Amino acid sequence: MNDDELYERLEGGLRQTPPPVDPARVARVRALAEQAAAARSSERAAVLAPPVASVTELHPRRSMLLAVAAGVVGVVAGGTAVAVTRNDDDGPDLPLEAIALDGVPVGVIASASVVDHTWGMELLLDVEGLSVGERFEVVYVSKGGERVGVGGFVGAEVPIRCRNTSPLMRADAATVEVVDATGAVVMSSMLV
Amino acid sequence: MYGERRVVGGLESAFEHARGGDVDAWESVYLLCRPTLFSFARLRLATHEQAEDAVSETVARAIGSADRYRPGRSGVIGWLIGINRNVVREMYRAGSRTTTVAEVRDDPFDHGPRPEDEVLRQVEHRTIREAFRQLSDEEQTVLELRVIAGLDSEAVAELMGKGAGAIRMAQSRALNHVRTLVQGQL
Repeated sequence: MNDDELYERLEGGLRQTPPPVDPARVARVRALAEQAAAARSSERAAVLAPPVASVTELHPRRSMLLAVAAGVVGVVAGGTAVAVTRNDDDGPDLPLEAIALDGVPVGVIASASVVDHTWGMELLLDVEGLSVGERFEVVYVSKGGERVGVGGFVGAEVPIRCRNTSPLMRADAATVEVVDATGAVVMSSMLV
Repeated sequence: MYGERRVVGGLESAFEHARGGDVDAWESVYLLCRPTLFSFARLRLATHEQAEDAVSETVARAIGSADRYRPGRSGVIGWLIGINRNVVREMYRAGSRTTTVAEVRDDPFDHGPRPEDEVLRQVEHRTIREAFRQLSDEEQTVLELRVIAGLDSEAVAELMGKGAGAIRMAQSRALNHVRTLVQGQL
């Protein structure tokens, strides 16, 4: 049996024809779509009003803003600083460096920035859509190949906002990785 | 009758209208993605009802996060499959699954060939599903993304966060594994 024949048989065995469409389920989809359209209209109006000044201000409203900002932040190339700053014990106006995440699984929304502190590097990670209850670890990889675990989190039904810090300096860091419990890389960013 | 409803345009086009707030387009998205998502869910969940629930939940989540969709090689169906996988995983953990893929009955809604051919077909499908059940999670995923979703290696690679070459090798290994398992039975 050649590959094409085997693929054909697999399709026959695995594909299932769904039952006739249930009008109640369609009605629910329509109701949710109507609600979402209404919510987006009012959200847009609210988000467009205040200016974005600092992460300190951003954090309480971050998840709401992310929906609008993700498209902008998500396309910023790794290592490109964006005009967002945060106040910190290092002093005011530390630049946030948006980093591009590679390999983000479909269905997962994630964005990240790093902060170059005098004492090391901080990662700000916003993520949602990862498997609920599954454990994830954040790892920095130095330019010398050293792997430094900087903490972890558990997938949740709500958007997750993490901060991970390490004495590894920004200038010495090569990669940021999020790995699952098996050690497989779920998403990563090469720092330039 | 929804089963006879004609949906105009493809999934990509429907989704573009849907994310703009078009309620009719969301209905089209649901109807267009339902067969594929249902097949995925049904392989891992115990009943048709649970698989239907998974499809509904997937579309509900898609409605809530449509603004964040970014086009990729696997397109809208790939994005929806990604959501569907998470939904099914959560349902699985919550105890929804009580059967194996080999126990999935042949399609009660597919009125195909004559009875004698049907018996042979059911035996073949059962053999295939039993072999599929013995594959690793990764092997199952790379095969179902190809045969159910019809995605090419590049699209599967994007979905799984791997290189296309690695996916082609994984598909080839998985296919050989199936071939070994069904040898002499088909």
